[in-house]
Amino acid sequence: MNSPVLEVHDLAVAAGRKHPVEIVHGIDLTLRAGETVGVVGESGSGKSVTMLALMRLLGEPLHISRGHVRFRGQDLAALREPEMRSLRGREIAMVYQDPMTSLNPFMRVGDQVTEALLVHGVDEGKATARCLELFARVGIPDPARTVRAYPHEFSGGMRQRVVIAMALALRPALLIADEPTTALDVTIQQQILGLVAELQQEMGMATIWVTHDLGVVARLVERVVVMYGGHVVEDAPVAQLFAAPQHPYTERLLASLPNPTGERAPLAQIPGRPPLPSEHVEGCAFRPRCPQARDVCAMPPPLVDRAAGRAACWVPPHEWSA
Amino acid sequence: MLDAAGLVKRYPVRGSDAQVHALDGVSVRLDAGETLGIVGESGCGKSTLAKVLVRLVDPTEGRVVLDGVDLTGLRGPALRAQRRRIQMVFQDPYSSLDPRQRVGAALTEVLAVHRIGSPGKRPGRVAELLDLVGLPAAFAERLPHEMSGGQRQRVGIARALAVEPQVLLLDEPVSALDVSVRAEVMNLLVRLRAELSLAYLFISHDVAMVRQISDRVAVMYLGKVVEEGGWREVLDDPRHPYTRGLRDAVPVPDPTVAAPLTATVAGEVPDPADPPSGCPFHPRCPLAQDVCRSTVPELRVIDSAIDSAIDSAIDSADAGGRRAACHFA
Repeated sequence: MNSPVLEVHDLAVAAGRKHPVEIVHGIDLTLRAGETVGVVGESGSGKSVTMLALMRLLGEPLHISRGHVRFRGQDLAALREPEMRSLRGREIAMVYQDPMTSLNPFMRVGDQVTEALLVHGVDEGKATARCLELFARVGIPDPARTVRAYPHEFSGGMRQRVVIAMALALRPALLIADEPTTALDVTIQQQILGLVAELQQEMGMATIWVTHDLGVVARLVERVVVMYGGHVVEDAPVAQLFAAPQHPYTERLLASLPNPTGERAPLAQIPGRPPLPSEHVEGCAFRPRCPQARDVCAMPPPLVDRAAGRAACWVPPHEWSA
Repeated sequence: MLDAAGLVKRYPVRGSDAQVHALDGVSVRLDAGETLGIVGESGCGKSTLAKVLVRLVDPTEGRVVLDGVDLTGLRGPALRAQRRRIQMVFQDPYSSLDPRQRVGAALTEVLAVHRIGSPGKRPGRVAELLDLVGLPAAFAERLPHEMSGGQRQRVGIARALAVEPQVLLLDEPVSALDVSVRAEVMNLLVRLRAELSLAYLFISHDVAMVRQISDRVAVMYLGKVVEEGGWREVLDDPRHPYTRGLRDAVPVPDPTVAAPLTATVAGEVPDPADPPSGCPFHPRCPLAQDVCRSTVPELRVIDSAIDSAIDSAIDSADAGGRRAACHFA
């Protein structure tokens, strides 16, 4: 068993200092070296905020209200900002949905990758050659010419390849990818997923893949963390999650998807809507929509061992009504 | 009922003589009560097609005929009268609703503009419309920001239904919604279609949703329809290499399904201002031969491989056959 790269314990995020409203309620998450974990959730589930929190990138009024994050045994809360900055990019890299979050529109794409290398101490002579290598590796055609292009001359898919080149330039131990293919066409998404899977194998980095798309998760990750209303509701190996979900939200979510082959049937509906981040639900956050809800669900369910994973539900699957 | 033939839409490219062929000879037919799914990726022309069909945009060439009336030449009141019969539902109901207007007022306004019912009867009609899309009458008092995405999309649908159209053009109607909310809107569309005998043009990049709701499917690529036919033949037994690649690129929410390791469609969509010679798909096509580089394949009738599937055989007979634009289909 590998030692964990990342250990998140009871991480909570609140908005506002005077009258703080908690929006992420005590997340536990452990990632082993080289492991790929999917974090799945709908809008308002807290998945993106959690990622920003563990990178220490929250902007006011959001702040970490409790819990801790250990990266390779080091407590990230104890690091000063310059140390944290050097860690980001070098050891923890992030790729976002919109590549322009990471790119400077006025700078040639090659210069941006080279600069990332220089900032982290690669010498100038090597940086240019390494940049060309990276462009070729992430599948950007004709690197010698395209390094001189500006971001606007690139398609969305090519920009995301540049961001991936930049993120992986320093061989980080952890890559956090937050919906990096959501804005892309499905054929381009497939190319990017394949590329990241290959690079991950080559470099052995741990990856957190944040997405709302259960297809992407099934394709790419070993373990899935399902978030709902600012909580982790299930954490399970991917095969088990799809075959025998242990939380009613996971089960309903899977049932609501159209069948990709075979017969068509009406889609299972989940009444209501996900809670807003500011909304407080007494007990289990899924209770108002849950077909399995009982009286006990008025108390917050702890995340407990269930089958080969964990689930935060008072009612185990064998007690579920059909 | 809706018959559009030879639609061409070209846009000039700023600062050059080039033109973008947003639509390059597209014909679609929609029968009463039928759902035609239009699927394709960005830049394929599917949204331009919707805009041309409702005359938000005039086609450069081609005609749109609704129940024997040519919409292309109509102006003013005559156009407005025909427009009632074909309504559009957009992806993001938030951007198509006035943020300061209550739902009831928005629906009443549509009725007033089209002079439907007397002013006294309109509140009752608003309640009926809300009920039709599964919302309580009290929602008439809501503002757009006081509703969830799913509820807003229901209001968007109610507004389109206010003028009692025969055809709804649904442009990515569930793409902006949360996964857990998509199912209810999809099921609502299926119910309304049956209750009101509506015909749908369901436009989406989402192959799974198109498969879920369509009777027939047309696949678009670079301004052209490359394959069309019954939903099952096109999506379960595709004959055009683009349809096959597109379908196989969709990640299946089932980890036991072996996903293709290599991309099923290589490369990127070419610049629509400078489309490839011959078949528009040839630079990305695994089957491309010399003929594909030189000769544009016609959209022609091809045999169906699923002869045993009686339902799809009937579908394709009704639809005038299954067609693909590929030299090797």
